[in-house]
Amino acid sequence: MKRLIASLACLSAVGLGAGLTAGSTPPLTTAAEGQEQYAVDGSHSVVWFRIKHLGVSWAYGRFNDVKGSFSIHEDYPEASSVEVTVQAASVDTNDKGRDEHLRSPDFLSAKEFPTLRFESTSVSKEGDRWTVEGQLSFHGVTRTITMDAVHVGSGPDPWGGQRAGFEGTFQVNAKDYELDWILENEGALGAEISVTVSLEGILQR
Amino acid sequence: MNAALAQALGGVLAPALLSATALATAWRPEKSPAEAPRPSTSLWGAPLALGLGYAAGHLGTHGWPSFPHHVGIKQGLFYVAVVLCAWGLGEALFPLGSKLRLLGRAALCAWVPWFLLGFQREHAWGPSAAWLWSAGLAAALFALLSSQAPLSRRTNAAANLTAWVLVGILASGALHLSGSTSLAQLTGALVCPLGVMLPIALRRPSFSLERGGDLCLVLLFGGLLMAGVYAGELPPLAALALALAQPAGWLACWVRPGRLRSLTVVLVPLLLAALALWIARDSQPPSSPYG
Repeated sequence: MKRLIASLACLSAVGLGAGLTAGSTPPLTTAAEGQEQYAVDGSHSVVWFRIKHLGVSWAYGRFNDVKGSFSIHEDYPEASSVEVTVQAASVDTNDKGRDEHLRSPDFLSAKEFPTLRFESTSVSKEGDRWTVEGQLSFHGVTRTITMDAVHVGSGPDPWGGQRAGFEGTFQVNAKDYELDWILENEGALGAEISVTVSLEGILQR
Repeated sequence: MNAALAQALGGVLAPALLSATALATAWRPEKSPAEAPRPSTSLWGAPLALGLGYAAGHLGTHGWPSFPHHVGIKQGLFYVAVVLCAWGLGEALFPLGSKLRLLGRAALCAWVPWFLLGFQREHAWGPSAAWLWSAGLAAALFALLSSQAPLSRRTNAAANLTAWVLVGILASGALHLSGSTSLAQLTGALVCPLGVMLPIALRRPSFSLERGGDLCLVLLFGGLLMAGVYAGELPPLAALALALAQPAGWLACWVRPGRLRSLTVVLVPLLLAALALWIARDSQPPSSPYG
């Protein structure tokens, strides 16, 4: 018992000392305190992609089923994180036949690899620009990508909640993800795929 | 190089040339009619031609698969072809007792679906369903494999091979119609060596796929159908018709030996494969209004 009391006394002294030290510097939240955790609102979030068609135009498509979460910390941006999971079968290019082909083993092989997943490993911020580095996994391959993102806005919603939105873009190469059909049919589709991730999150209290 | 030309060279010419080279290497001069009959090529010619031909077709159309980790069922099929080719060569060069041989073949029939359909176990099947499906597919492959050699012996090797070529071509068409060009190409890569073997079988009735060739052919064909159904959108009924097409040649055993029997060996599988093509065509998604 004596030992326990002594330990508590030591801890209090350390805590008091820490408090005094903190009092001498500008008040900052800790990384854990200022963290705001958001759940991705799937009906207001989307993943867009575009790829060059025949070298003459951009063909656009989107994934409709987007889930995930992100946390932001204004004081410690490096403590922020994001993870997004997209259902491969939800690909939509406004053409049923083409969507079936995109789900087939020629492209995404959606039955074999049902999800596309991004998980951040580091986040940094310079001015209004966020740089998010992370692991992007799809078609059985995981690679590190870097996404440039902007904070679109934050604010209350009409239902008493709080929302925040981000939009990020990055490039992937068909070769990196072994998308054979694109590589075999050189010229039909460009190897570079540009992806835009637009997320709206609801603050989790 | 034009993409279509590159596809034709890689997917058709390369497998045809490699399998022709394998068969030429295994070629044996024909003995005089008085001597005891023997196969017109060494027994290892067929598994080598099929394995090399398929692998060349894969490399020509899809490039080298990643190793050791493979990306998806298409790359998995490449490794299956390599293993089957090696096993087939082993069977041809070092004949085992019939029980050991059957045991080895049963093990391969169990391994192929287990290896290729890992994603189904991960995403779709529970533990019991995984065991049931794997056992069912293994049994089906073993039954198909076991029906091949006796059918070829009781009917006509050339007619049997002709049926395989036709079924393979229509299977490739069915896979294409069900949405996967790459699986159709890979099926084409399997048909190429068969096409090269056909003139040999027509000229020399003693030509045989036994001892390894049948193993490569049936298990690779089965693997492609599994890929079509589980990874692609090949309707299961079409896959069933394609799987049953070749064994349906057994119906020819009820026909009197001769031309009519040989014709039946070709026509019955052809009809079933045509049915599969029709089913696959019917299940196509509607064409786009945007072209």
